[in-house]
Amino acid sequence: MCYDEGSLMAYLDGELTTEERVAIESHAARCAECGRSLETLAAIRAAAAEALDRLRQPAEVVPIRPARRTPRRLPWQRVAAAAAAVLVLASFALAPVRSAAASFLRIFRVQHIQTISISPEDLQAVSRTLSRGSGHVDLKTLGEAWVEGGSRAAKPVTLAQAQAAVDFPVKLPAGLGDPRITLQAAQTFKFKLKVNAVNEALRYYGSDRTFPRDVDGKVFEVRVPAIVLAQYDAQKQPVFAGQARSPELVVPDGVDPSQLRDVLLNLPFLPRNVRDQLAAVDDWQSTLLVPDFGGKARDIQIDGVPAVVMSPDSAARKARAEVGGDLPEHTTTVVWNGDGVVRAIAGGVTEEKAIELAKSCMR
Amino acid sequence: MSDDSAPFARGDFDRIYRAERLAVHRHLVFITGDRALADDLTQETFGKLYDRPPAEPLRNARAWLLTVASNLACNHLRGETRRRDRETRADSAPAADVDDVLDVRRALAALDPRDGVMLLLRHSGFSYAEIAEAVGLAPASVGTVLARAQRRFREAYEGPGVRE
Repeated sequence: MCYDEGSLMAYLDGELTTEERVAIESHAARCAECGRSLETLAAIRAAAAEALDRLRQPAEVVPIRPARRTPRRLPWQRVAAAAAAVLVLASFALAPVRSAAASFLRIFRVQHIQTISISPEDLQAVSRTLSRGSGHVDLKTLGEAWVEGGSRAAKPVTLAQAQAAVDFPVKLPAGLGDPRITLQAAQTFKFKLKVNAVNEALRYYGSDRTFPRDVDGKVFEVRVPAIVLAQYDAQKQPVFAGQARSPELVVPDGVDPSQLRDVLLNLPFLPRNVRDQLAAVDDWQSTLLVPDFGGKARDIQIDGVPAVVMSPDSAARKARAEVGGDLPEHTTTVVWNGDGVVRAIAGGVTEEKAIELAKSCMR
Repeated sequence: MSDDSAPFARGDFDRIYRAERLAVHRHLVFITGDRALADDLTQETFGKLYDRPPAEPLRNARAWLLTVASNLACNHLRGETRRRDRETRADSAPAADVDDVLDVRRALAALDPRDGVMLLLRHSGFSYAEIAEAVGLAPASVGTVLARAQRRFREAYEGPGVRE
């Protein structure tokens, strides 16, 4: 059975159930006509989205009425976007669990892992916005950012050295031979915002929400603990096993995290579907969000431990190839969190194999 | 009585206004590119909610409001496009980057009104189910209409000569 345009568009818009989606994918792989229709619709959809995105640009202050005012030029609008993107990452991608003990600082740490669906188009939409900003990058206008601790480069270590450097048991997958192990020392990324300048930039970008004044000059920290990474090259494709304590986001005393979240959620360049997913994360102060970049991600249990397994589908692979990257035939990532340690297996193996490797780490 | 099933009451107006005003305004700035105009149309959108609230329970106030707002904004774009086309026949061409954004708005104005509204709702991230309810269409038809709307929008924007 061939599919009508409406079903194919619903497929592209992610409106179908997994069963429907799989049915269309397997049909389109065999049916040249539906395959072509799908490509045509995808092109139309992308062109329409890109055109509508233009309206979201800073140029949107250009009035449709004959010019009554000229858009102001902010030399640091690109920085504003970059800084905002970093903050989004800091509070959503890295983040989160408020420690019950922390009364002075709000500390966020990972307790749950959840996937968030971000398509390559979403990323392109954001990067179009960011790249369209003009002028010089001048971080000083918006605040300061610096890194403390640890050298930037990961250094090769023995297993014993790696184990001595972290306060949790280093667990490695079985049956892959000897790994090359590297240790990335703990780092703390610190940010201090100049709220007036940041807010002006936010408003310029069309945001209705701004940072509260009392955030001015206060230091935010993203603490990234030491990471142990083992690389196995004996396979056809390399396999990585990584582990680290949960990253933390620390905000200054007196700052209301939910207020910051509100500002970040309302950044005008966040694609609406991404924003909705972020907004729907209930336990946002303890949930590590793993972007699936258009692939298939699902929640599984490995020996009773909740985990997320991701394998990019053919569409994601194609999209990645278009932006210059290449994915091996099997690329699977398994991420799980146990005893306050986030662990991941990633590499060119099948889903079954990746889960088996993860399981061997849990023993 | 939950908010989801309650019929719309005047008492809800304040609550909805407070909760949705900024979203409606942002949506209107996005479509029209004109803050002052967006101010006016935001008032008009909520005016419609106040004067002629939907008879059915308002399950998704934001979808309802953005549908009304999209309609008002597209109507405005159609009027502006006609007026500007008259004027530009006499005037010199505007700067290229301004023209680019104007072309997008002109293409929106060229769409069938409901198509334009649905395209805008979809671009703003509403699901098919929400769009269907907001415009009064069967959910199964949303994909078909969106496919048509996006095809026509692209033709209007890039010119009919574009081959697929």
